[in-house]
Amino acid sequence: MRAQAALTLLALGTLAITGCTRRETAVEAGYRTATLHVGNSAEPPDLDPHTNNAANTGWICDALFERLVRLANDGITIQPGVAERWEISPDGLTYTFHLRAGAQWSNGDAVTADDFLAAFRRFLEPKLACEAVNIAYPIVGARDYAEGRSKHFSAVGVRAPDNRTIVIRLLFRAPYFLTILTESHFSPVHQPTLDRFNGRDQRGGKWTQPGNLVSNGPFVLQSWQPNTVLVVRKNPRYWNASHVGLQEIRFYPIDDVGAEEHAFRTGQLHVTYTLPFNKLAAYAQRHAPELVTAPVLRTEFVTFSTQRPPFNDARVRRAFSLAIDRERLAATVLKGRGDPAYSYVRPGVGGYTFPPFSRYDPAEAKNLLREAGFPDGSGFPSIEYTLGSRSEDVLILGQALQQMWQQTLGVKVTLAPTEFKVWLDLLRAKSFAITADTWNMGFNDPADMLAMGVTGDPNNDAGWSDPRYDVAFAAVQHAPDEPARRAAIATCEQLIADEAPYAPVFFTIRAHLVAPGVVGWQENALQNIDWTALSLAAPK
Amino acid sequence: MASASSLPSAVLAEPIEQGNSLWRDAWLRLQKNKLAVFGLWALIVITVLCVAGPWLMRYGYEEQNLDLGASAPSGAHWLGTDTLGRDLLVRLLYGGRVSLAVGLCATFVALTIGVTYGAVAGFFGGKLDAVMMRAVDIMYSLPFAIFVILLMVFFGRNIILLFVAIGAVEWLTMARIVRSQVMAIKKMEFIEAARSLGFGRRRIIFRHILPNVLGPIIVYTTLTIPGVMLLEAFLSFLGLGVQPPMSSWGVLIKDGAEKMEEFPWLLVFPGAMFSLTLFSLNFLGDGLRDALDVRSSKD
Amino acid sequence: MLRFITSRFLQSLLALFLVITATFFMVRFVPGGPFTAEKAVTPEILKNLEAHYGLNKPLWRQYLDYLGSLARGDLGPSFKYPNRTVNEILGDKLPVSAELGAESLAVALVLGIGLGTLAAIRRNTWIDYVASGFGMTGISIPTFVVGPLLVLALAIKAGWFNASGWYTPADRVLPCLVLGLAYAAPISRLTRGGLLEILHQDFIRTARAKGASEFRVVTRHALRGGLLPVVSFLGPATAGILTGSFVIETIFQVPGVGREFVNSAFNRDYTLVLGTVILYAALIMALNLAVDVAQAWMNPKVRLE
Repeated sequence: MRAQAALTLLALGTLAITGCTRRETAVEAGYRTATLHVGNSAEPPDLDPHTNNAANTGWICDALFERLVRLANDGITIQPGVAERWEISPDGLTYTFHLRAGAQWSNGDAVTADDFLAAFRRFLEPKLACEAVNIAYPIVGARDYAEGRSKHFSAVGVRAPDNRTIVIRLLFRAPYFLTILTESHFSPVHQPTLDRFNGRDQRGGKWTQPGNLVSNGPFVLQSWQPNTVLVVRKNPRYWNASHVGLQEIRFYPIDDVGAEEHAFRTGQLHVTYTLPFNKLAAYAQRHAPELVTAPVLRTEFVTFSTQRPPFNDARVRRAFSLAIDRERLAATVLKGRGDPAYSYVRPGVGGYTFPPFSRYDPAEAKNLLREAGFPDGSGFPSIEYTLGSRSEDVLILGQALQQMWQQTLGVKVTLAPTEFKVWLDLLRAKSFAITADTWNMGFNDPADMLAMGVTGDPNNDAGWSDPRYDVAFAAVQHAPDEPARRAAIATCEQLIADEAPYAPVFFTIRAHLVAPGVVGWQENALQNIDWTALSLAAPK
Repeated sequence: MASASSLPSAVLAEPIEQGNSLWRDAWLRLQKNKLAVFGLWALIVITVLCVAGPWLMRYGYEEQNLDLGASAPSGAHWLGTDTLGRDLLVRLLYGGRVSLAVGLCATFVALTIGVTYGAVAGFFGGKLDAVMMRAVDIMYSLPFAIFVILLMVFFGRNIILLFVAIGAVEWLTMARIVRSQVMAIKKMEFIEAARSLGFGRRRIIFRHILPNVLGPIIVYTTLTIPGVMLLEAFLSFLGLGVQPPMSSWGVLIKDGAEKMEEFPWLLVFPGAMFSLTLFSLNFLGDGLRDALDVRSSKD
Repeated sequence: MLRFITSRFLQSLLALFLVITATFFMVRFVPGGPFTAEKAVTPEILKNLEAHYGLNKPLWRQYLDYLGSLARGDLGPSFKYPNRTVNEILGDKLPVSAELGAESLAVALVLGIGLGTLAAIRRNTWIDYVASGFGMTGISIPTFVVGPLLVLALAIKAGWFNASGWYTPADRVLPCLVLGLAYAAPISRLTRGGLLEILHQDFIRTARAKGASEFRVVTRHALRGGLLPVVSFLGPATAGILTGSFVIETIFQVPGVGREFVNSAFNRDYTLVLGTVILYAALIMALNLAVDVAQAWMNPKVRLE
């Protein structure tokens, strides 16, 4: 008897010790409990889907709120959301959505057309001042209402003929309009909750706190510990709940890319939000199965201050653009982080593909600079290349470009890294010579980015103005059909290549680390994640 | 002399002569301290290398070799190259110029202001001390990042600002340390003796009190220098100070720390150089402290 | 004593007021605002945003409004985190930083004073060299190198700890160790230096001559005066360590207040900047007061004036 007891003790002891040395990681436990651990880059400022302007908060809002339509994991396919079907008028100006009968809020209330109407109104509300409101401007009357010129929401082209129908009228044919509607800004709102916390036209209400938040998406907010973890749990009232594979998603606001990669390696995360620049090559080299990359809707370019010498001369700007050896940059500096950019908008965006508009041509670059009065760079003023960040990738690229300009053109360029918000101020005040700039496209259509060339656009950092371009851009917006739209886009691109207010450098490729047990992960250009399509299975 | 043994001899003898022999004695004692001598020589060698070395090198600090990229130490590049294919040895030597200059100048500023300020506050005490020390409290509390950004907005990117910004924060703790030491010493017999001999306050502070608080000053100075050199990396992060492609040890180490797994040499060599310098400084500092300690030499 | 503390309290209150005033105007003169974002908003929207937060009022009016709400203990809403107030944010984070700080400080004091004392009394022996070598190593290797190195070795390779986070007691070990070592190094150097000053003074010789044991000489007599520089250093250092360390909290993702000192400035979160500054200033002033009291106790010749 005694010997047996001793043996049992021994076995227990061994178990305890081995249990201690090889503890179960969060990722392994996640496979048992269908809990996904996700790195989410930074603490979400708020969970208000309308005022939100951050991509990482967008990930959380996508889990919490469902809009009329949803985007599949490929980033292209539009799927039914709260609307089970919709019709588009032949002129492309009127959209009619039919809401599904079973749509419910997480507290059991029905999701009605009026909830969407209230949400449109809230998003456009001038007092709320949503930063991203301009994406709604294709809707009739939206701009006037949002900018306070019209006080009557009835003038905005959004109607609810009955409790399950929504009709939206557009100012111009915007073929990308359905993709816009998949954005968190078009999430419906639970009106009683908003009213309880005075949130209809106020920012920062407590209605987004756990316990208060009522949502209609596949997941509901469970808890939120700032700077630690935000937990969402499967919503049993979601219309498609039987197809949701995850029980819980835990978002970790890890704001240091190095720390995030470390956390992935210790089994704390299934998915990282990003991957440090210098790690990418190492993972790619050993063909790590965790590494997933995809081109995203983002262009990195050089902006010239076109109103001040020497860059008020298009030949100088073009010379600088032609002197950039983008193939070499991609092969030696970017190493998998970007594709060489020979157009302003990435080919394929919105389904438009064109032959390259720009090229690498050092001889022509020198010619242009000579024509502009600076043979071999002589007499060219010493200029500052302003950078808005001190991050490794920005610095490395900046130094490589500096060297290329100096060697090809014989000009003197100094780098001026600047604190981010100081840089934004310089950008808005146009008090820079050239600067490294990027644009994350808000929706999958060239119009989003081409707007930056229009005279007086708030994001026209180049301060560029060309009547031909303004005409061409108007033609993009108001094109009656696809061929006309396509031609107008090509005209815009050609003007940007010739006049070079912006010199595109590369199109970003984004990288994540995804644990092999995450099923259904699909990288896509919009960085869209359909959480309902994911599930977990412990890898063998 | 027996009766005077408890008083530092500085008080009694002729000041000029005494000053000479105090420093000469110290120098003799320092030379006997092997570690201190090693530290001194190492610092001289490092300084000479950083100042003269870059002229002897085959590569420029900004000279890229994109096709080579980051490469481990080799015959062509003794310490390897960074991700842009630049020679690490050259960058390390150039970076040393910046870091040594910043360390020296900013520490000098901090030392001058901190010691004087602390000594005056501690010696006079009372209302003056209260005002001066609350001013120190206020300066401790102001947000440093905001202060630095403002400096740049109003004065542009100027290397002088780098010293101003660093000096502005680094003298504060020095002032508090010196003040507390002075307060402790000013009531000692030999100071009372000096007072009774009718010496002026300035003379008492600088000739009689300060030499007796040199120990803590030296130790804290050797602690300030690495802080200053690393602070420089933070300031260059805010856009003040050295900017790429120029480098400094702080920036190189920060850079290397991010890539320690992929390219360990980018951390190891700058780290080793930085540590060697600081060890030498501390050896020298300890030696100086011992050499200047009049009391301990009598044991 | 009571008069001294009352007078110091009033002085500090005045200094605090000056700090608040200076900071209030400093942050406003820095380029960029809380709503300067990568994508520019139209002027109309910006105007509405500023009106919502009262930023369209004249600056002196905003300053008085701020002082008014401050008098009621209200630090205002955060610009960056609109559904939380600065009071809530600091209330959430300060305890975390204070815990990290207190544990690190314990590591720093035990190691630093211990090694420094050993080095001083066994001066120029191998014990001194080892202890001093530790101090010098600690000073010359910055935390942003030690932190990731320990993570690589103990979390990733050995698998003993999480790489980052603040969930279980085990998660406290690495950040406290790294932060503690970073402060132990200078403390050990200052202790050694301070003790060496004292150990040769007459009252120590007298104590020795009277036959006191070496242990008693050091602990009862020498440390009291020899720690003077350490105590001066500890005032601001403790304020710094208790309000968190930006580097440590970033590397180990500790949800403390240290990151907010830097991030709030970068975010131009005016109210949060002021909140962190007030917190830090109050701590600095309280601790420097404590240091002055401690120093008077350590050296009876110093009187509190």
